[in-house]
Amino acid sequence: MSGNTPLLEARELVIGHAGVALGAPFALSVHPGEVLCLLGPNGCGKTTLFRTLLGLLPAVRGEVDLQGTPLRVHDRAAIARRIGYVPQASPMPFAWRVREVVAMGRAAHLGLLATPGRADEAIAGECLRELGLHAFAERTVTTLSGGERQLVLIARALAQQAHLLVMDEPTASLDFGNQLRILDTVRRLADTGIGVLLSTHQPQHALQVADRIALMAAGSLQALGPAREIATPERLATLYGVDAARVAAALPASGSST
Amino acid sequence: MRTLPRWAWHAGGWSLLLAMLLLAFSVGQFPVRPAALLHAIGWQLFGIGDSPAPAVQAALWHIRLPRVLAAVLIGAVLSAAGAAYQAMFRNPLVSPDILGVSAGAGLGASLGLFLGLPMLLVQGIAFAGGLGAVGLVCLVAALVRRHDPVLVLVLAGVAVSALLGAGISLLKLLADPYTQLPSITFWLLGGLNAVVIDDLKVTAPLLLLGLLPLLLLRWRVNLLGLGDEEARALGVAVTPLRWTLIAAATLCTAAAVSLAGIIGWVGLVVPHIARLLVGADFRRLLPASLLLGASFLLAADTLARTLAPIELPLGILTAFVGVPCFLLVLARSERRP
Repeated sequence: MSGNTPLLEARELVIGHAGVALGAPFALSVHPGEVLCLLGPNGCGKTTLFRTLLGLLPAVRGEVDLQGTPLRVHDRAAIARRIGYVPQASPMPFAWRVREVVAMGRAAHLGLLATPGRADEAIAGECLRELGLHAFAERTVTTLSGGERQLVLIARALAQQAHLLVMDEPTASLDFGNQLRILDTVRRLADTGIGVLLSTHQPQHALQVADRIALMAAGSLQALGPAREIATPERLATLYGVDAARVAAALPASGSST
Repeated sequence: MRTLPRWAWHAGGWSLLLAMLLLAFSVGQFPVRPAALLHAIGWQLFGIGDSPAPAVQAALWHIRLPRVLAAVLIGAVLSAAGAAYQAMFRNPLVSPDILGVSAGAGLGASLGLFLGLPMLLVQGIAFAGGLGAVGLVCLVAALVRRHDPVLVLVLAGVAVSALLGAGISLLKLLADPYTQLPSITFWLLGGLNAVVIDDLKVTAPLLLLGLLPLLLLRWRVNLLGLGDEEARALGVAVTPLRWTLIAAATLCTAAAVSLAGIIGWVGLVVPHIARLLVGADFRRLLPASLLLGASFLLAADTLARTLAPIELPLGILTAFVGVPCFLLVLARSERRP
């Protein structure tokens, strides 16, 4: 699937707030069917990068293309049809039903005054089934556990029917079982041809699921390449400012992880 | 607590409203027995039977009808505006005057009464005051761009309300304590006793005009409840949508307050109860709030004119009924449904 037009391509990108650069220019691309994992210490600019790629924050310099067309020519709905966004699962203020939340993913496909019709409900149902959530459709989101809520948000992003998913720390604050469940879901989605860009604080998760890994520090990408070449103990030690032997001890032996 | 199926809450909501309407028409200083009421309605609408006594007709169609219509309309739109503000501000504890509309209308009306203006003009100034207060709050929010826009709106609303409240207090202090002060106080407590059919001809179109965008955008309102960033990432143009909803809900509230004075708690309590009955999806929450709000205010107004030998201010009754309801809902919803 890869080798075609990238789903997302950033060139000479400088991210930052209100025109103030956070770091040096860098390049980044996500191709169909690949998982690109972003690693970096707290405050290195991962969220700022995601917001820039989603068009929520203007780039200080540089270009971002979505499937070959510049991000800035698209309106909000057009971006949402190209990038499905999975935020960190925060508690929701109202007790919506799961199927209602997933149907909200259809907003970019509907006119201003339209409400989701039968076709949209069917797509939402399909996305729930895809993630094994069909039994949850009538549950209210306030009764869900953190892992279930995260899966619902992934289902909502799938309902956007975009070819690229951007996930902000999808395994954060989940228990071990749910972390594995989310990672398997990410891999399975990528195997269907979807491109996934996700951030995580767990290098072992990145090694498990990613095709390529990007290391981010000081508002810019320091390295980007095949997962095993990038996530070496030496590089991770530099990235997180800890001892290399300590990192090597914490990571699974090279090649043994699935 | 399970939410009700669609047919059940529709049937329940409309039956409740119908029962409240019949009750509101039959009780009062001039009681009309159910049989006489049905006879009068039959004669009025379909020309069935003999002409009812003029006293019955006067009580029903000239005195009670404008009041009943006003209670139904105002209760419905205040609840709808409250539900919209709660969804928009992602907070179920928000009431429709969160952005200062009641304080603005209150100051306008107090000023009108203080200057001894005719009632229609007082209502006009109240309406303008309500819109002006919200306009000021929105202007502040538009100028302050450094913070979360929702937070700035709410804080500016609180501050402007407090400022206008001080203005109201000043006018009350300056007002003639025997003539002007009682009318200002009474207005601020809310009531439908002075409503005539001509008022409704002016106010009802405004109420319906404000309601229209809420009805048309009912599904999108949900998306604002996710928070700005998430809604934008899902493809929603958040800022124009929020301004539209604020304008619509403010128009509703300002028109209601200018006609009936400050009637608290309806817009806060009714959406809460509606949410428990039909769930949080605004597509169902809006019609349920409209129906329940109409019944709630009609019941409160019927109590206001029958409970005591003198007319009780409506705002006091909605608080007496609304607050216990609210606390009950709070206690029941502790275990999240």
